[in-house]
Amino acid sequence: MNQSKLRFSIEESVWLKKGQEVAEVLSMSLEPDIAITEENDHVYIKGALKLVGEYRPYAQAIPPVDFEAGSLREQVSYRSLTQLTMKDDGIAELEHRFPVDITIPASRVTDSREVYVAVESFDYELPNPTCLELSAAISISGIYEENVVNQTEEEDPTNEDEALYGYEEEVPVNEPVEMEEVEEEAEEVPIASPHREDEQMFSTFQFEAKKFYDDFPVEPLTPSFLEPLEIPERPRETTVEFKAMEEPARQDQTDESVSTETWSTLKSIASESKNELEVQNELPSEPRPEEIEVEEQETAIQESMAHEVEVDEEVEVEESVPEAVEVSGMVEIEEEPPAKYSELAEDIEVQEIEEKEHGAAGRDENALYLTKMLSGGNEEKFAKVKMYIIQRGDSLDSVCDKYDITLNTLLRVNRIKQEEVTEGQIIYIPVAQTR
Amino acid sequence: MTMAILEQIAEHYQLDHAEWKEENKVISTNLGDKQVRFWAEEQLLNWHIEWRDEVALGMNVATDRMLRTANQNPWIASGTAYITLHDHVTTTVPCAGYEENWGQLIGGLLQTGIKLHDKYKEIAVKNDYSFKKCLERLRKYKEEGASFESVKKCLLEADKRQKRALELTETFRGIPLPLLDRLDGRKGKEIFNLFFYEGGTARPELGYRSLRIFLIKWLNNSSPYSLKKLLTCINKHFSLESEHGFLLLAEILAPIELYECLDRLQESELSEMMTILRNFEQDWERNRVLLHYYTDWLDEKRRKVAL
Repeated sequence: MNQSKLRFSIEESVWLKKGQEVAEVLSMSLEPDIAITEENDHVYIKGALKLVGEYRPYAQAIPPVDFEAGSLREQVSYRSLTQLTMKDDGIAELEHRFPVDITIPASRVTDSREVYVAVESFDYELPNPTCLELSAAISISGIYEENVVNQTEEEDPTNEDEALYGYEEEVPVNEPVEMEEVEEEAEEVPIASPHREDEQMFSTFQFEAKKFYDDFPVEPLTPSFLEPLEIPERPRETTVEFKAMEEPARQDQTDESVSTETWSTLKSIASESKNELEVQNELPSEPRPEEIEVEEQETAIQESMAHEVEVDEEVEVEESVPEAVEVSGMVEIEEEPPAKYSELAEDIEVQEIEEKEHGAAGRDENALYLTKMLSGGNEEKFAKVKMYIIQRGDSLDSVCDKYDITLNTLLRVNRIKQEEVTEGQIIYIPVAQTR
Repeated sequence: MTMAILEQIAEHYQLDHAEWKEENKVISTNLGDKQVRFWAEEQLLNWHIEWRDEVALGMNVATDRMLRTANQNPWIASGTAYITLHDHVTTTVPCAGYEENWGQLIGGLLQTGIKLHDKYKEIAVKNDYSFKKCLERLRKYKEEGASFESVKKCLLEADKRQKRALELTETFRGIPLPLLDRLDGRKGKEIFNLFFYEGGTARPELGYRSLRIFLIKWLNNSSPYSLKKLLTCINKHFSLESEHGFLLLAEILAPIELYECLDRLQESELSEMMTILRNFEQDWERNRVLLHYYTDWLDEKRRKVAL
């Protein structure tokens, strides 16, 4: 068994109160004050890193009391004895605690007495007299590689299937899973061989997650929600909900010819994917700032939203659409930085379907999406639809200019009759495959 | 001796009978129980007579004024001493709920204290605080091998407090300080629904030291709300929003508890030192809390005026 170390770094700033400014640091140290306990199959590493130091404070002139302005209370208050540490030779003591609270599965630790917390390096800077900037590297030794435990499980053939189907319970949520990386590593790494010791804990988890996707490359999968966005209300059984094709107020006649067949096809697909949905629904959900790429057939959902929102609120919108149709689709998960979203970019993985007769020039963009979605072919094609929330001052024209599409296209895709939109309204922007 | 005093009292105050209820302190007469006091110094006695009479004038509070003899004298001479007779009330009142009464009394005491400042300042006890003396004492303790950590670590902070206090007193130099009888919350009483205050016999104190101690004890026994209410009631009869309020602030800022702690340490046995140090730590903290609420109250008052 290979023992590994958990390493993490600390970069903190300690701000000193007025009157405690540092003229000269005489000594500074960082020491762990940690208790390690084992309980309920976990090893708890709790305590603090104690920063202790001595310094010479500035001898500051006391500013006069301002009777006219300012709070008297703030000007004349003094510190409690518990806040004071001062020797009679004018040296001040500094003490600060950085709390530490780490929980490790007991399977990673053979003997809790071997777990040891050490400060590997420590440095400080004084950019100004009231601020102490600290940096330290902390290591926790006595923790073993997780794959030691997993190797035992993988040797059992029955466990392998469970690892595939039941792995969702083991998949960590701390590390992003990128599809591209998945494919590469799946070829090269039979068992996780991390490059850094501190990634050992999660590398096998990553591997198993990737393996799942490799085994199901073609068939449409319902969203796995392995690393879902902040969408607490999104039902896992629903990827995207669409308005039924049989809605009465439709302008385009060609849509009607497709609607009946499309509806029945949708229903059949929805029933087929139900079982897969149930499997996928068991996946754990942890909030993560990532995109979820969903498959979409129709984008005729219009709801009003109060303001620019992230994916979670858009999901709420989808749920309120009546006569929604459940559609299965491929799911891709990409890592997304937690930046503000002004629009939701959605990649759609569609399957080619047999094109029905739509008509000529007035072919509806929605129908095209539907037919593509419902085709049972193995060839994969990708189309994108971006979800955009109307901001104050926006108009359909400005949106069209922004995304380089025609107004007619936008109106058709969104089934909008008039060109007026309201703030918070969601519209869908079709994105060409070449984009 | 005591019988002679009783006869003298009965004669001068025209009492049918008088007998000791508590020897040399309380007598029982046909006009109720009366308290007897003995005074050695005439000037001190005069001050006590004058402030009691002054505070009781036109106010809804009563003081233990010196009862007048048949000749309308507030005292009777007995050898080299003076004897005074006072009403004796036993029913005490708490702090909370009596803010109006206490506020009126304290306002009256402060007003009277300033009025009588010039006349009686010579007999007043002056409270001096010297940070240098504190340091000298600490150095002496260190030489003797004693190490008082809690005292040492507060020295710089105490110095800051002292400087602030001096700054305030310098700013309002020339404003007369009141002469106050040592305020005691246990001396607040009630008779026939009338608030009655029983004064002392000690020398007057120049300044707000007595009021500071009283306010700390008030805060300990009640609440910050009650304290602020008391301050508001005092303010109705004696303004704390101007120079006198800042002089009280200077008094609260001064690190008196440190000086008193060092004083007591000097005279105490080793076994008492821990208790003295513990009391010092408590006093420091209590005073800090009083400062917090008092300045808060001052800020509120100033905000209202600004609006």
